[in-house]
Amino acid sequence: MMKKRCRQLILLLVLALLVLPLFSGAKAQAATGHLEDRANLFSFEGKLALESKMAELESTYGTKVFILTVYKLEDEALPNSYTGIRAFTEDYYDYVVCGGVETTGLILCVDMGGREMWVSTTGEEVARFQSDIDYLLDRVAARLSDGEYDSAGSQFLKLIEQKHKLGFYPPTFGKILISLLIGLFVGLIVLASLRSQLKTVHQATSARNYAVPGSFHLRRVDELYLYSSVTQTAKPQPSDRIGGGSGGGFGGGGGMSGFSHGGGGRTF
Amino acid sequence: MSELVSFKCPRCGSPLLYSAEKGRFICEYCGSDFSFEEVKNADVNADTEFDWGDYKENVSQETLEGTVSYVCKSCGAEVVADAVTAASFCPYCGNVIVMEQNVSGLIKPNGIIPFRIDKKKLQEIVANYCKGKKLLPKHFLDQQKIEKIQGLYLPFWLYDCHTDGAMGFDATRTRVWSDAKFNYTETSHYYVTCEGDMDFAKVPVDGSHRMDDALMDSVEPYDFSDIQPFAKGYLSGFVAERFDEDADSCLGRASARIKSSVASTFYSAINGYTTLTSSRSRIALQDTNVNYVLLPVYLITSQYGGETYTYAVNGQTGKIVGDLPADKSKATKTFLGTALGVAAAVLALLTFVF
Repeated sequence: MMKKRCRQLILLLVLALLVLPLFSGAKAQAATGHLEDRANLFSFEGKLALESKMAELESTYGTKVFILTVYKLEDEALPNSYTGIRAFTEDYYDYVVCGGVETTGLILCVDMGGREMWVSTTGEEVARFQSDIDYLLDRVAARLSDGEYDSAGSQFLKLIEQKHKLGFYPPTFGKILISLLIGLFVGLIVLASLRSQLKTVHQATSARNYAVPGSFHLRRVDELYLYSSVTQTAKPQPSDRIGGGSGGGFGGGGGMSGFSHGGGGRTF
Repeated sequence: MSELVSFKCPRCGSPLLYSAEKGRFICEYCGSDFSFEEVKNADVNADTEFDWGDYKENVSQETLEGTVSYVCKSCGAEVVADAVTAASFCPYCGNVIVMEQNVSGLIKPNGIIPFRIDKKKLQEIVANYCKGKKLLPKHFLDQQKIEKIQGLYLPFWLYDCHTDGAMGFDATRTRVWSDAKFNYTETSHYYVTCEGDMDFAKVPVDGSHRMDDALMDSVEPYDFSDIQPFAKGYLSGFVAERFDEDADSCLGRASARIKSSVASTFYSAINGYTTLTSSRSRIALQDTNVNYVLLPVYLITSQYGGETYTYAVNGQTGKIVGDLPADKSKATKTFLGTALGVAAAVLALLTFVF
């Protein structure tokens, strides 16, 4: 048992040694604060407020939240090691923020060079934000797009707190509209069904009930052939190409730690 | 002045009423009850034969219009009724009366199905009918209204006939095969003709002009094995009407139903084609025979929102039909309640799950 744990620890250390040098610009050590504003997006007051809020979230809900901003993400990683914002964010959180220890929390990474952002969740936050990550991303991205960086940061934290407090986000207009349309449709069906209960009078069009049983005799059936027509359609041929077009999206896959992550990204 | 027939108790002379529940005649005054045979033997006016003769040749058309007056044998009051009333009550003393000229001679019904549903059973039927109808206005069919309704013997024509038909169909068969490069579909077109015959018995059509045809169609079916030879005694305690639409004018409705059934039977009998579309038909009714019968119906009318709603109960089987009004307030509440409830459920689902 002890032998096995030792083996796991050694494996983790080896992995950390391999990964940490990837963050050439990043301090290759566990971050002590909650904010790394390398792109200088936040005001001084904003930074203080964000730090304070993230500390509060950690103490209140046990979730480690981190915000990272960079000028250009490619420059943050070692040459030829950049595999996309997703992998970078996840690895940064796992190894730099949490020191290689699997933790429950979120990280917001803002890349001003690529004008994109990524929010990565881990631990219990993966399931918590799974259904609502788009709601969070849309609101943060909208503020980043407007250049309201302090507001984007505080909105990110506010939405995390709201999710922990209430368990859900207010429904979007689209969801409300879809729900109302489905409700109205079902309401109309129910009403029509209840109205049909009140209508039982119908003109009789058949006398089938009064046919004498066994009295039907089909004396003759003749078939006259008229003409035939043939249509042909080409069979779908197997394509010469293998695979489809290139996919879009963020990042080039998950990080190296093996910890499970959720999340999503936006451009702004 | 018309001749009236009322049925008196052989013991006390009071009016007799026919009990649908017991199938016997009841005297409400002395409590006696009698079978039809007992009343018939005591009543010189009772019918003694079951006449299946042709009704048509000697029907007096004059009696189909206007009104007739009669004198109640019980109290002597002179009362006016319309020409098609066959049985009713004296509005002064409540005595049961039967308009003799409307149920005898050549326009005498060939048969009658007696009421098998009494008013107690009727109340249960109506109450059950109302159950689960959420949009029905409250008190629309309350007991008071049901107690006021009257059992009615309505005139029906029953048509028997042999049909002989020929039909033509545009038909296709398809065959599908393929080779390395193509899929092939061969569609062969045919013209299919067929001939056949079929019998129908006792196709009912109501012979009352003022009765809604669709309502009377909907109250079907009746169990015609229960048809009894007509006897005026069955009318006792009920209102009855004589026909005012003759068998010829009603034949069109019966004919349309019969031809439609023959056509659909032919259609079902032709097999082996991918598509089959009727393009020509000739269906003739032959050996048509018609009988005039009185069938039992309870008619209930009720007012709602300034409109009169009528529904009918088959007096033999208890089948109830009728177009009933919807309470607008209930409809609105039901619609909004359902729509908002479903919308809330969907919204919760979208918010918490997706």
